[in-house]
Amino acid sequence: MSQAPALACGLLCATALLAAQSNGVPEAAHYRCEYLAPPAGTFAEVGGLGFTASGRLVVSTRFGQVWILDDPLAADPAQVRWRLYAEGLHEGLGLHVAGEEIHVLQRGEISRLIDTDGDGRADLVRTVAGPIALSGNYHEFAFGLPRTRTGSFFLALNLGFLPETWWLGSSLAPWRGWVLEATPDGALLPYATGLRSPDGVSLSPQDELFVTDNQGDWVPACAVFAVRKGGFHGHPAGLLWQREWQAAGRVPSQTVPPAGVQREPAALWLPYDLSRSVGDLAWDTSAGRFGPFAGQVFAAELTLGRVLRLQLERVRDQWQGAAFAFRDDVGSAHRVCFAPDGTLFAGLTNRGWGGAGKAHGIARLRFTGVAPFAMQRVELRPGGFAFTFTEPLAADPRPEQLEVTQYEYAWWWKYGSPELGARPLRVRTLETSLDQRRVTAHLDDLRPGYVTRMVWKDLRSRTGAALRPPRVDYTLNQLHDGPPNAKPVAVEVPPPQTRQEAAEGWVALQDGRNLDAFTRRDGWREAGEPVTLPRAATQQLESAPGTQVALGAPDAAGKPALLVARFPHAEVAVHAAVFLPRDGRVEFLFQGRHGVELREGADLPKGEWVEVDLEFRTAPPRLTSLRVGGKRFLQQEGRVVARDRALARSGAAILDGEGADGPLAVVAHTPVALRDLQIRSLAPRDERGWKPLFDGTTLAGWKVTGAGRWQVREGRIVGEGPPGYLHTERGDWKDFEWRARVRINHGGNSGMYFRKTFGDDAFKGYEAQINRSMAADPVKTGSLYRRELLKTQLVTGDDVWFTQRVACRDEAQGVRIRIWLNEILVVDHVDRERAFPFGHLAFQQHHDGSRVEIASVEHR
Amino acid sequence: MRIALLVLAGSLAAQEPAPAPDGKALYLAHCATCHGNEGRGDGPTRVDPRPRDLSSGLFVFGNTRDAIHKTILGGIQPAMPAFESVLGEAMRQAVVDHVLTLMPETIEASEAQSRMAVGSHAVVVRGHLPATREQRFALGHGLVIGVPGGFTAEYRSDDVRYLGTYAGGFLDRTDWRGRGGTPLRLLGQPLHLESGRLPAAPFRTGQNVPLAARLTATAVRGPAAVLEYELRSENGATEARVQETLRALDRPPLRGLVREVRITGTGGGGFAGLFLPPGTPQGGKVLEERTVPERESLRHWRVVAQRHAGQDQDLWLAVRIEGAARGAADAFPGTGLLPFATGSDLARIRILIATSGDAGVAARAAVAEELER
Repeated sequence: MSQAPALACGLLCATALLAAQSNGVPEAAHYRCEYLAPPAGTFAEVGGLGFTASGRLVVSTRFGQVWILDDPLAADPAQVRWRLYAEGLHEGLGLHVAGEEIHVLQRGEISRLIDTDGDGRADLVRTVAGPIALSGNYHEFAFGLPRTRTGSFFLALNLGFLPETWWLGSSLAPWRGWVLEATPDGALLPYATGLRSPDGVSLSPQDELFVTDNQGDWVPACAVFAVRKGGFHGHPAGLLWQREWQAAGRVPSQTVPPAGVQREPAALWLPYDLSRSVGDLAWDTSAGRFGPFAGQVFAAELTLGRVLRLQLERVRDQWQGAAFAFRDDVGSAHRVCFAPDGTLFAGLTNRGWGGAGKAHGIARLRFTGVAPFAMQRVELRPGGFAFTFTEPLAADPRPEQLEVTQYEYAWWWKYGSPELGARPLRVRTLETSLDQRRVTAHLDDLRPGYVTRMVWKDLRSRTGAALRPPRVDYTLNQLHDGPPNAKPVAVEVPPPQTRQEAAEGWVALQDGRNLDAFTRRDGWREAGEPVTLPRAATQQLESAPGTQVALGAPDAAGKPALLVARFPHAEVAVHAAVFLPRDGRVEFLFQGRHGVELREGADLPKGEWVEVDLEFRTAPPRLTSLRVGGKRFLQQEGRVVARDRALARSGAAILDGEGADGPLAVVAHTPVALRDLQIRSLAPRDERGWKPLFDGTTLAGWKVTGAGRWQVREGRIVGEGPPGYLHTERGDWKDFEWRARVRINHGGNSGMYFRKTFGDDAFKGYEAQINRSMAADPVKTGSLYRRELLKTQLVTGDDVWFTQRVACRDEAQGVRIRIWLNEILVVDHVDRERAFPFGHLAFQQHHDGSRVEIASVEHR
Repeated sequence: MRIALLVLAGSLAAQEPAPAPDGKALYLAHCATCHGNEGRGDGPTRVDPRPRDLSSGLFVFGNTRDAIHKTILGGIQPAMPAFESVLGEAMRQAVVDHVLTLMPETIEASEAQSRMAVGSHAVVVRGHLPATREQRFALGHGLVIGVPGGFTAEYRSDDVRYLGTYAGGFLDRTDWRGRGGTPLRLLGQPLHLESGRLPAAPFRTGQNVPLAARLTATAVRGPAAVLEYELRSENGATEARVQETLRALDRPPLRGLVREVRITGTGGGGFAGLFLPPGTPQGGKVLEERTVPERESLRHWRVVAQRHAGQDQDLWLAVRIEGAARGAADAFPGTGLLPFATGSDLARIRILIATSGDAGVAARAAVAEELER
């Protein structure tokens, strides 16, 4: 990697630099970089570059402007004149210039710009193809705009990014995540998909289409794809619009790899330290005027502010090749384009995207005539690679001078992938040509489906120059010998934990509407609507930021406000956010006596939300973890931070549920706001004796009534459509426990019935409720329908997996029914009437629009 | 930061006011182990991928205040944790402040720079528009036309529908700031909004089937702007071409804009269709509606005025159709649809959207004159 100091562009004499640098040759000695600034007070955030036949440079920008530079090659870059040719466009992230004809890619269409009255300003914007569908999401950029000899344009459409998991790409309108072909008659045709943020769309001199994509979800590193019609390139979101997916009603998962889809390998993976955001490509057709790399490809790199050199080759119909560092300190390069004289122009921008160096304007890279000592070409050979150097070597290199490793990436929903499975390869022999410009390396166990990293150590040219850069990363998809390779560099791995998974296991005691998850709430009320909490240092919480909070305050006599959870528990984790005014004090108590007090002061800030995480264990009662504002205050289990103290001393009554399974209490000694109070059971579980009722692939043992659709997909039972039930065939369930791992969509409603009569009567059986409809039905998940009402939304989110366990048994007093939600006992009920003596188990499909997924069903 | 972690029996400690969060201290406590004290990405903790070198502005996730805040809030998989539950809002903002001091200067248009104005020429601008009430995001395809004199017309461009007219300033190109992609902000006051910015298709077949409109060009002709679009039937056939010219209307006491619509049939026999004029706004009154027969076809007027309660201004909406189809006037009674036909000649529709100081005789005369122009 170049560590050359940042050089003032264009002003330094190459020979002086050569003389000044003894160790390594700076890039400026070979490629001089000059900067073309737009007129003072204006910005040119470049989205497209192109030359007219008369040698003018046309520049489209993210501002929706098009500039024309009449003399872009002027010796003094400060003399280059910028003329505003068009404005008011909706971005311009693609440009095509042929002859004097200018096409620009706006976010919503391809347009031709025409100056009808010859005053130097485009006054006519003609729609050539469009409209391009848009959802209105901010990130729906359109990139392009090369044109084939037959007159088709190619463009690529960025996915939308949603605020919740904001870098997770979503295809919110047709063809987002696709490459499109705009035919000469103006039709926009889908061409290929699987792209995420395909910022560079380029055609080779032979009209082969290459598209770059940017690291993110499903894109483990920045990549260059050779795009074939109909290809899928890795990001599943765009599959949504594929005809087969539409016909089948399939929706790509954001986290689970799509099954049964052929994935195209990247022609080139650009390692993270080489590229973090890649723009477009330019082929060097200057026949040597840009130095010794004629025919190779140069890529714009924004984040690291550089230009990369890529060398592509086709092995048995498979594109692959080598990526090199080329020229640093260029600025945030987004677009590259060769001038007719072999000068490389780089258009810069970095606003909102990240970048290095100059943030806008144009850089001009010119070959000084002094070629660097570099790997001119690296080509795959049977069993190894052939290196061609720009200069003869000082000596025949020894095998230990070449370090070779192969690595792969994970193809997953997470942002990018580290380099995985690095495998050093033994260099068996190095064979040097007589002119000492070519070296063939024979490697042991060279495998396709890996990026091959090769680093030369202490390699010098005959003139004493050090090799720059010493490293090449060769994406090896296919060997010359051996069978066609099916292993991709980016390998499918089990999906890592999602954000929703991290939300699993909790029971929310607050949902912003109800306080019925508490048996006592003296002095507390649920705000019910957004309230403003003060940042000011008052003792009141009348006026201050947040929603869905409970407000507690002591009464006029100073008696603290008391909130006691309805559900007993033993060992438990607690999560909450608290907001304190000046001098605010709040306690979290377990078993009515053990706990911790948090107090505003120099340490716990007032006027802002602070997250509190506690873990409480019994035998002996103690806190084993305490984090406030993310800082850990208890490192070791067993350290006692809070001593026993009878609650009576704080002025509140003894709690009802005091004891080993005593519930959580929150005591407000001053006004306090509380939100997101959640608990998670840490108690050991008895997992003995469970037997499955679902085989993971079929509905064997189950019977459907009603019109609901019950299917097994990806190992889960999915219930959708109109109302209906999925019954166990067995109808003699009497004393039993059964549990299911379930999730339900926003607004969804289902239920776990037991001792149910076969058929569609909703009221002939007990029901443990499953319900994420917010308003329609006040009976929420965990309720025993018509018997024990829970209005609070105890499940922590839509589509969050939870486990609901039901125990039903005839006892002396009646039928005892207990319901655990994520192993927190939420209902303990005795039906003295013994309404239902025995029956089926069943899941309910409540209404069209509701979707329940059941991952496992077990009984004991 | 220490924390008040009191044993419950503990005495009250002396209280002191909390200082504003110290962004640098928070940065050093939470960020520097990876990003380094100076933000160079050289902290002692090694993570893969390597942490950003904040000092060089290398922010893949954006280098604006909002973007940095978002990154701190949600973290970046796989290496950077989310700080949503670690740092309070004030603390996060303080860290953002500090991170901004570590990075190099980046450019971002100021609001003054992103405001566009209209001079002596009309200006045509495309971009997202603020969402209508039914939408999740912005309106994707927007077209905003400013004419000299301070009046601005708003259209959807994907189906060429007029949304409204605004008086006053032109627009703020908010997508020149931040990460971009945000809607244009119209700076004028709404003068007339067509059906709450949810307009029905203005052009219909003679059977009242909506025609799809496809934009083919926009142009600036000095002080006037031109939209060209095609009207397509359900089967995709182009039935007619429309050229719509917008220009300022300045005939005291009337001020506003005029939309001059010229329709040419593409078939040999011309095209006969229906036009849905701007909807009468709430409180608007139809002052005049008449049809004048001519040799081949009809002329049709319709003038609507709306008194703005509590304001000195009246809104005038007036339509005149030249080339109205004979005998078809009552084809769809009660719908407000006006028939037009093109034959050897094109059909013209002139639409006035204007204000005046009052609904007096002078304004009404100016409307009539302008319709007759």
